[in-house]
Amino acid sequence: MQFEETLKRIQTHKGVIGTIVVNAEGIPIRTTLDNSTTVQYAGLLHQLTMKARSTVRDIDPQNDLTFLRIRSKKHEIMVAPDKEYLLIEVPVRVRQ
Amino acid sequence: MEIVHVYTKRRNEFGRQCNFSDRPAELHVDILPDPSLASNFIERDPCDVPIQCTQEMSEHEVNTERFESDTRGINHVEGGWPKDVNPQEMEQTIRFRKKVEKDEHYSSTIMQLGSNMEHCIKQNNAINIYQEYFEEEEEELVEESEEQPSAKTINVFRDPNEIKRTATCLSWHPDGSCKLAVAYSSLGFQNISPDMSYDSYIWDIENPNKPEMTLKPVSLLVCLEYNPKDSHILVGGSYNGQIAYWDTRKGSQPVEMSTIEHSHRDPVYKVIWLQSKTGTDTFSASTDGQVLWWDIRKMSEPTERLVLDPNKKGNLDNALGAISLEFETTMPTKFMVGTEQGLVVSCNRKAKTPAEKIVCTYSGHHGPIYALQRNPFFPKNFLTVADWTARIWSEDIKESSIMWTKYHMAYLSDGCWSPVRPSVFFTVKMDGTLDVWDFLFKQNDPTLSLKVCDEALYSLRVQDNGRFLACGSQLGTATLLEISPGLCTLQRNEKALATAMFERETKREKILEARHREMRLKERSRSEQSKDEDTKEGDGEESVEELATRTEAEFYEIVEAELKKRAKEQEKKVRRD
Repeated sequence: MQFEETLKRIQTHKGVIGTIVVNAEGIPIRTTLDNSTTVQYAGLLHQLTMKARSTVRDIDPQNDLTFLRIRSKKHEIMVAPDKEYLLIEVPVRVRQ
Repeated sequence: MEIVHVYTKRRNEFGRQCNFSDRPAELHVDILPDPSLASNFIERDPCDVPIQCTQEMSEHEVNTERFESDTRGINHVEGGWPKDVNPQEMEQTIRFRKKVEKDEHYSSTIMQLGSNMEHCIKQNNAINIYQEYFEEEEEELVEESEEQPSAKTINVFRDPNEIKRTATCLSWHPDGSCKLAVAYSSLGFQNISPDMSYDSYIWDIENPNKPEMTLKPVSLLVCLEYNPKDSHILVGGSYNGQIAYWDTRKGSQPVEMSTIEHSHRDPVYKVIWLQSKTGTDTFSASTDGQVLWWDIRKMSEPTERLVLDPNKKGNLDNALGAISLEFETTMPTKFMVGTEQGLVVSCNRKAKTPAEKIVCTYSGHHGPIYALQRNPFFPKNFLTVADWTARIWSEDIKESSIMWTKYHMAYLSDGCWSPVRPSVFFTVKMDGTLDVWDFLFKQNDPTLSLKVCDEALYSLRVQDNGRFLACGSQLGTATLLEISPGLCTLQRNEKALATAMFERETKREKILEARHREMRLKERSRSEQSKDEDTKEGDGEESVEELATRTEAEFYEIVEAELKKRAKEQEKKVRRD
C-alpha cells in the first residue's frame, strides 16, 4: 500500500528516531516507539496541536495550521496536523 | 458631664403603632436679601478661570490579597479508545488499528502529510538553522558594553505573624542556595510582648507565601547559621543567651540546647561554625563579653571560654561586649571579634594563656561594630561596618583603617563582601537603602544605591554565587534581590588592580603612622625638656579632674581672646565708616 511506503521512507530518513500516527481522539494508530512513550507523546501533542491551531485561527480566521515544529535541546518534534489525523516525528538534532 | 434627656411614656402605650398625620407647610424663617450688605464686597474684574480641555482622570490603586496557588498534576495514562475496545487487550487494539488503516481517507491523508513531513526533514538535514555563526564576536561585544549596574527585587518574604519582628539574621542553604533561613527577634529593650511568636522560619525561595519550615526555639533567635558541611543542621543563638541546634530532618524543636548556667548572660549576637574534622564545632559571641566555644554533640558545657578584657586579665567587669565574629576557614587559629565599644579585637585561638589569646586591637569606629568580614580574596584585609561608615582595614596597620567611606546620613547596620569580586561589597542602612560599593570603579559614592523598603534594614547576606542577596528589615520582611551580571562577574585584571590598590593604601597608612610616631616622640622629648627646665614637679599624670579644669580654663581663655579680637575688628570697622 502506498501510504506504507511513504511512512517507511520517512522513518528511514537520517536522524529520525520515531514516527507516530494519531487519530482525532488521540489514539495512536501506528508507531515505531514503545508504548508508554507513544501514549505520552500522543496525548500531549494532540492537545498542543489543538491549541496551536485555535491560536492561528483566532488571529486570522481564514488561516490554518499547516505544520508545527518544537525544537528542544535534545531533539526536535515535528507535527503535521490534519482534520482527523496527526503525523508526529522525532528526529534528533545534531549540534554542529 | 453627661447630657441626658428624660422623657416619660405610659406603659400601655409601649409598642403602639406610630400615627403620622399631615399638616400644611409652615414658614419658619424668611430672610430677605439686603442690598446694603453689598457694600462690604468689591467686585472682582477681571476673573481668572482656568479651563482645560482634557479628559479628567483619577488614579486608584488596588492590591489584592496574596494569591496562594498550589500545583497539581494528573497523569494521563491512555485514553480515547472507543467504548467497545478494551485498551488492555492486545487483540482488540490491533483489530481496531487495522480497521482504521483500511480507511481510504486514512491513506490519502497520510500521503499528503508524509510528503509535507519529508520536506521538513530534508530541510533539517540540509542546514542546521540554529548554528551560531558569530560566537566569538558576540562575547567580545558583551564585555565591552557598559551596562548600568542594577538590582531588582525578585521575591519578598513577609513575617506571617501579626506582631512583626525584626529579621535579624539570614543564612543561605549551603548547597544550591534554594533555601533561606531567617531568624526573627526583637532587639529593642524590653520590646517583647507576650503574644510575640518565637518562631523562626526557613523559606524556599520559590514560594514566598508560606515558609517551608518553622523552627521553634525557647526564646527569640537573634542569629542562625547553616552548617556548611551538613546542610541539615542549623545552629542558632537566642535572646536569652542560650545556643540551640536544629536538624531539619528531625522537626521544628531544637535537638539540643545549651544549659542556661553555662550560656551567655546577654543575647547571643553571632554564632559561627568552625572548621573541624567532626564538623560540629561552633563558637558564639555576646555582649556579656564572652566568646564561648561549643561542640554541638555536648551542649551542656562550652568547651572553651574567652573573656574579652582589653587589659588581658580575664576580668568580666572590664570586658567589651561582642557583637560580631569573624572566622576564616583558611586561617583556623585566628579569629576576630567586633565589639560594642567600636574596637576590633584579633585573637589567637591556640594561645597557651588567656592573656596571650588577645593579640591586638584595632580602633577607629565610634559605635558598635555590626559586621566584620575578611575579604575572601585578600584575607589580610577586612571590612567593618559600624556607626555611619564602613571601613576597610589591613591586618598590619592597627592605628587606623586604610580605606573608609564618607559619613552617611543613616546608621549602617550590616555589610558583607561579594564572594565573586574582590572589590565589591554591600552595605545596608537604617533608612532602608542597600548600597553596592565597587572601589575600583568609584571611591566616593556607592556604585549602586537602591531603596529596598521604607523601614530600617537590619541584616544582609549574599549567596555564594554572588548573584542573589537577601536583606532583612525591621518589620520582618526578607527581600531577595538579584544584581546585574556586571556586578557579579569577575572583570579582567580585577584581582591585580585590587591587590595594587590595597598595597598602595596600606603603604600610605604606614607612612602616615611612622610620621605620627615621629611627631609624638618629638613632642614628648620637647615637653620633657621644658619640664626639666621649669620645675621639678610632675609627679605623675594629672588626675582626670585636674585635667578637666585645666582644659576648661584654656577653653575659656581662647574664647575670650577670640571675642576680644572680634570686638576690636568691629570697632575698627565702625571708625572707618
